[in-house]
Amino acid sequence: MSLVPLQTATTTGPLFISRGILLVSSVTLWMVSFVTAVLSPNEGGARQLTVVALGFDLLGLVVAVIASHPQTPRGQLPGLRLIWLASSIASGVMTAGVMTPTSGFPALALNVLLGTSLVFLVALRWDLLGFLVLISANSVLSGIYYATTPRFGSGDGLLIFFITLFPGLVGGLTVFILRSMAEGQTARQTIQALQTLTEHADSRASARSGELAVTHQHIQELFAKVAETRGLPLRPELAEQAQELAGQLRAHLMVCHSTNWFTESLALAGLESKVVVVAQPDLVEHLPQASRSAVLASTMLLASTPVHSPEVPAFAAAGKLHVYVEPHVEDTVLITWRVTNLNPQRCTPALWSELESLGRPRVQTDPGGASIMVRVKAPRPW
Amino acid sequence: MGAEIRGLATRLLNLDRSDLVVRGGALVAFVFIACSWLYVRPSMGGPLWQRAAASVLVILLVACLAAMLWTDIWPLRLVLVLGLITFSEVLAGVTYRQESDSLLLAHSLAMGASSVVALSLRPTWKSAAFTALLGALVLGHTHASSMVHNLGPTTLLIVTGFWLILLAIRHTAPKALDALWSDQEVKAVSNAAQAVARNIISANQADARLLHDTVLRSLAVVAHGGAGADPEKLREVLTVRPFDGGALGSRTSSPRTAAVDADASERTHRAVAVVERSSSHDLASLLTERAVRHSRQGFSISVFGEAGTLPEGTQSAMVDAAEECMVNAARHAGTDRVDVLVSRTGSLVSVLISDAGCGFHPESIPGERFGVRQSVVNRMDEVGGRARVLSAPGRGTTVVLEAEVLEIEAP
Repeated sequence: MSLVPLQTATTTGPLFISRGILLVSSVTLWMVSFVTAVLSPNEGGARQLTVVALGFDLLGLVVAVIASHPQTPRGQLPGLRLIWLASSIASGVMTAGVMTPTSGFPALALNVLLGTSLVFLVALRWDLLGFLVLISANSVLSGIYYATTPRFGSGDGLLIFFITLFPGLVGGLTVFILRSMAEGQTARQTIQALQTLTEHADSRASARSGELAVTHQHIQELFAKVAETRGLPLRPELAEQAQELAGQLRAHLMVCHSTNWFTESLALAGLESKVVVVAQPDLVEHLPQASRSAVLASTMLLASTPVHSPEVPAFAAAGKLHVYVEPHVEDTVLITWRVTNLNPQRCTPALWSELESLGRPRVQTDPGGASIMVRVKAPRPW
Repeated sequence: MGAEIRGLATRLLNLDRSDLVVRGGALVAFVFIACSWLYVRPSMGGPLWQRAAASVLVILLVACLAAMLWTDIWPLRLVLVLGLITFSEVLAGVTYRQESDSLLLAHSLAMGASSVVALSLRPTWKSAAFTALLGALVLGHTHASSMVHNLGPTTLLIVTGFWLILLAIRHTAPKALDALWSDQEVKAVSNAAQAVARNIISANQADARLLHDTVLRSLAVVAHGGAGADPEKLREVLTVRPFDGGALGSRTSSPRTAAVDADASERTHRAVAVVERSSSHDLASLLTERAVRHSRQGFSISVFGEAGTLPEGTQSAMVDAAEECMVNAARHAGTDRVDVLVSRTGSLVSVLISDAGCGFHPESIPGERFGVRQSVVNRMDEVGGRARVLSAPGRGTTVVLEAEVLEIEAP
């Protein structure tokens, strides 16, 4: 069979695989900076500047944490990145300002390291280009901070650049390698899945079309009788049989069209018993092609998200998942995924990326589980 | 070269996630030690044996890290930690610690590289005890060294920070990698399922259109007793080829049989036959052909304008969709005239089928009526076009069919 071109789920998403690692790194670095500053021999104005710099670092840390949170609206991210950049510059300038020929170098290095760690957090939901731009800007700024210190030209710049560039380089390389590996893996898995699902679909189609083929056989027989009839009008029994067969054919067509791309895809993926789709007839068909991949991928990712059931202490794959598709205002539909016992914190970054590509996801949790809601533009096709 | 890279990627993919993290950690630690050494070496003073010992230790450490790319057995980790501690002590004999805190930082980074052994932590008490022992060795030495040399807490803090971060990576990264791989697999199945489902739906819709536009119409004629139809033409029309209820996709290739309007009892001329979809026919000519077919006494369809010849798929879809609109108008509009306006603006080709009949609420079409939904809207959708139905009770009906045509032949 020839397949229509693949409409793949979104490939953009969190730049790095784990936000937790970045959070631990950033918090650890800030705490080391804090303790180092507290124990430093600086006094008077220098000490005040150090405290203010630490405050800016903390502000940058908080902003980066918010910017990397999966549920932070994407529209707020540019502003948050700017705030982070401003706080980073302020902190860097102040830290470099208190540096003397004999002290302050670790504080500046830690500041630069923290800045680098925060770049990863701030760019977590950006693309690779954005990350590279930000890490480059951070490197240039670090160089400038160092250039303003009394130690400039003493050879310490090598270390500063090493500290600044190396994590970014490692991060960028890791992202490249992991992404290319994942893409290659996905391509192979997609081809395998296509072959498997096509065979599955063929067997389903054969089973479904049996009754329709019988009806069509009867129609052919009727037409053959009509063709043999001399003169018109036809005998009333032929007309009655034609009416009856037309009704049957229409019913078969209705059955054929009782499915839609969503339920058909879920059935092919073996999720028809696990996922219950509640939608008005035709409403799912209103969803534009561009959104369908994300809707399906989100559903399947949610279906595979482990949940914690009170009855079963261990984490298990999600139980029943209900998907409600309801009409909303201004040519939009509201899609609600309801998963029992789901903790949204356990949802993977890939899921949030898919949901974000549809719209702004809202999450409601309750003792019984969680609901994720997204409004999706779905104009009537006609 | 490409094969080697692919082989390496395959080996990496087949690695246990924890092993993958250990190998990545070994590479990072290697870079830390190498860079620190490059930085501190020019500043080293002291006797020659100290510098030679430091160089030998660096070679030993690099060898250990290189070996960790294959295995992270416990003796290797122990040698790595002991090597780093000795390296630190050899450097401690040099005067740099008291005179330059940047060198102190480079030393801290090198000692921080010991935290790579935390990545080898496994969920067994033996592994936990051994890793804890190594951690205690490193941090204890760093603390003692700082006390002896009166260095303050900076080195200890940095090394502790390294260990904390690497422990977090050990705890989180394998899970995150597993989740990433698992999600990729789900996405792959999702992509494939959607593509196959789309094909199934498309095939079903094509079947529905075929049956609706041909068999159902023919049945309707028979159901009306064939009143008014030409017996010869009716016989020709009813020669329907067998329905291919076989595998997915095979049905769409079924030839289109003749279409008979249920109300075409007074059709005047032109046999209803399979239309030759020759590319030599332009859109307006084909529409005129269909218009003539469905015109009868007291009901006329007029075609105006021209748009040249479109790519075959788009042209067929537009003509078939427009024909369905003509049939619907003839059957339901209660008017004696339908106008079809063909136009082209740049790459946008549009066909307007308009009548001044009774009109209807587009939302009120029952689900079991396939005509507009399948034969018009979905048909246009499948070729990347669109259909709009503009109608209201008592206000007539206009159906707008539009398609973007990139390669269009001049009319």
